[in-house]
Amino acid sequence: MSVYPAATGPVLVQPLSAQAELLILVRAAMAIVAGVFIYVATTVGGGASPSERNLMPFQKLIADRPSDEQRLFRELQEGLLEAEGMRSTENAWPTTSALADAGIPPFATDPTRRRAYDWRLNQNGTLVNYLGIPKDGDGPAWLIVVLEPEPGVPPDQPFEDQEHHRLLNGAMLHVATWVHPTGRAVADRIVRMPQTEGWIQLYAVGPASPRSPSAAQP
Amino acid sequence: MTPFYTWIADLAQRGWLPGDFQYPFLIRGFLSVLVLAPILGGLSHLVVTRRMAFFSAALGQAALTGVAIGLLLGEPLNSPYGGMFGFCLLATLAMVYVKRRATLPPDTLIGVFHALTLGLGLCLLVLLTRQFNVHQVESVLFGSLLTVTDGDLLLLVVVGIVVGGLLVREYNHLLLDSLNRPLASVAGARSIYLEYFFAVLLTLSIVVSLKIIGALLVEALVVVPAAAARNVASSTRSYLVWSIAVAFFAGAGGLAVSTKFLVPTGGAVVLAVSTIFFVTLAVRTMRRRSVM
Repeated sequence: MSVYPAATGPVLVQPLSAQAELLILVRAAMAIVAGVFIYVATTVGGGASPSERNLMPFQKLIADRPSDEQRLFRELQEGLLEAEGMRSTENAWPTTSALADAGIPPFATDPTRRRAYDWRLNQNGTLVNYLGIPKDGDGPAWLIVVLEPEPGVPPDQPFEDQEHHRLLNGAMLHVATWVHPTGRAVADRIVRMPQTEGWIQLYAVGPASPRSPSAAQP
Repeated sequence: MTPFYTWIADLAQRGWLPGDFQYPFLIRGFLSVLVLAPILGGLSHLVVTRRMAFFSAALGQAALTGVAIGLLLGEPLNSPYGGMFGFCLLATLAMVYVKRRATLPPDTLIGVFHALTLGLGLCLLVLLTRQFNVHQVESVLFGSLLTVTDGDLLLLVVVGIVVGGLLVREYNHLLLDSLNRPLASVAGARSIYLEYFFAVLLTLSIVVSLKIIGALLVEALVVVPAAAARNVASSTRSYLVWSIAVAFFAGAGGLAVSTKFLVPTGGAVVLAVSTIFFVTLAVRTMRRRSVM
């Protein structure tokens, strides 16, 4: 038979009183609030602008990109507006050769541009891609993603901004401009979620909407 | 980290790793799973033993409210950690205190907190949609690998080390306290301290896993791994090892599914862990039949 050690005996277990427990908790809560206050005070407002703070890791402001990219981004915005105009009047997205023939940058040949691109229009249902791959394989690739509304589905927001363009027939488009740093890695096919394939979404002013929906109602 | 990502991408291009590893976000996701699996798997079996599954669900909702508070305080959209940690820790302390002192059943009290934090979170999110594009809050709700940054990974590693170290230090007391509280008290464990201590560890782990798994689904990864492990484990040690293994395979499997089919990471991880649970359940049933 085993023998119990001499130390075995009654043990007094005294729980904390409710008041003492509450006091400890209040002190802990005050420490947490103070810690959060210090953290927020030192991180908020420091460094990044409000626009930059609203960016996800795969999003960048065009102002922070090289001047070559800024120029092409600007041309793409103009080209997209022209393409949207043609889409409204002709009921179909214009091909890149049609845009080039109309002299619309960046689809038209421009000898002053440092890098030449092969532009393609890829379309699958309501998803439209204008894809630009550098001809020499070196440099970034460009992509405009346009999502047309499904028939009968109301738009997810009623006002226009850099990500929402309205056609002349009233349809609201979802548009986004993307750049891929390694053009040679890009395949010529339709892209549905560019962020999952290494593309970077470019913004002119940051994704936060400057107006509240109620203020923007016509 | 860029040279490391380049090196991994190079290995992927040579065919030594799956092709998807050429993208830094996926490498970060995989590293996150490597860190998260031991933390959540290690906590998981204690969560089940201490009957804190519903508590974990309430914490997920509290994290959602924490995100909203952080954004309202002006924190960056991609890392509102002040609001998340602050609100979740306060909610945890309040829940444990009320659970310990009130006469109502614990699940009723946690249900009240659950509803309160969800209601508050929804109201704050509606306020936020006037400042942010609502699509950007989706990643917090359902988890997205694309939003994980090097900073998040570093935080995950630091919290992982801290939680792992503290868990190892108090593991025996925690386990004994989970199984038999009076015996643990007699053995020198401070039950009140352990209750708060474990709840705080759980909170820290849930907050750092939010960006990958999402606020709405995070409780699945702190409950289901242990439930699956219980079907196949034969001892406490194997229970712990199986919990960690299930969490890892669910995380890695969910990651692969999420990348392949472009679905939210949180949902894919939950589907993977649920599949593993039903497989282990089938294994258990077959074992019992063969014994009979």
